[in-house]
Amino acid sequence: VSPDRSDDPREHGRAGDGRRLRERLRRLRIGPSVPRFYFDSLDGDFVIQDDEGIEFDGLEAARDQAATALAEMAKDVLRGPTRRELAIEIRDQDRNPVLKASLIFEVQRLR
Amino acid sequence: MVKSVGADQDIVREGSRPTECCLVVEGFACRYKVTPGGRRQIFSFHLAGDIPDLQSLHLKVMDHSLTTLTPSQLAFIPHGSLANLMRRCPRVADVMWRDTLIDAAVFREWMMGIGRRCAETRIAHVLCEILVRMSAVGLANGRACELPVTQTELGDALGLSTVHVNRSLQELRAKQLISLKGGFLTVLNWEGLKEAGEFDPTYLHLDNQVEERVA
Repeated sequence: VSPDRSDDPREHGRAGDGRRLRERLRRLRIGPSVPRFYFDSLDGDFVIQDDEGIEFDGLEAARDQAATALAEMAKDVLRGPTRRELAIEIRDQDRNPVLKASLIFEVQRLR
Repeated sequence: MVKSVGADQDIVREGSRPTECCLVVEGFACRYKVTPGGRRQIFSFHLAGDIPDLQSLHLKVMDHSLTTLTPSQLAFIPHGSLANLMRRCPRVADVMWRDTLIDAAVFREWMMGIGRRCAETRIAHVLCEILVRMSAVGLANGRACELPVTQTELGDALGLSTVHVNRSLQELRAKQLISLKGGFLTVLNWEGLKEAGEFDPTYLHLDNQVEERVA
């Protein structure tokens, strides 16, 4: 699986020729460079570090993806414990942290 | 008549009325549809030997699109020739029918994944499927094969965000089940990956020997 290109859904439109052209340029490595972001995921103390990164047009797009991914993580892992914190930390291409999105899941017995 | 086609080129588009079917001779293709909001769903991956749009022989208007994912060699068979061939050789007609049935079996398995399996299981499953299918057509080297799909494409196929695909792949790597390098997949632990993907190759209806080749 090759490290990735933008996942902006608008780019998958029917008139996707712009996307195709950009993608082709990127495969030939002659296109404009797109920033790469690294997404570490945290489930409590359990960390999965991303060493590969994904290309996004900007931090906004990366942020949206982190939010979607967080919801997907929640769907997969939230069983059992009564309190859990899931998070995704985004690092920029110099590997400096730039954003953290987190989700706190809590179950309380009411009687 | 074999044509060279670049990566990410639509072969047949939704709504069109094709007069020929496409045989993948070399390369990687997929069938997909896009929501009005622009989100893509990939239905299946296709490799050498597949005729992904065989159904256009009987269903006149395409209800989805077919595109290459990598530079490919494609052969086009006119509908008339296919129909003639099937009339003359009932054995071929049987094989084509069988092919469309297996096609549907693969969809059922993908539906199971998208509806009921978690991300890591979905990914492990599709990796098992690709390796076994590549092996069936002699394109695998033991437990290794080309995997020319991006994480975004995997996400579009499995209904997952690229970030979650990325994360789940890291997890499969950390468990020493697979290694991925330069578009190449190597399965380090076949039994482990099968288990992680809840993969039972029955739905592919292949010769038993094919799985033994990877096992």
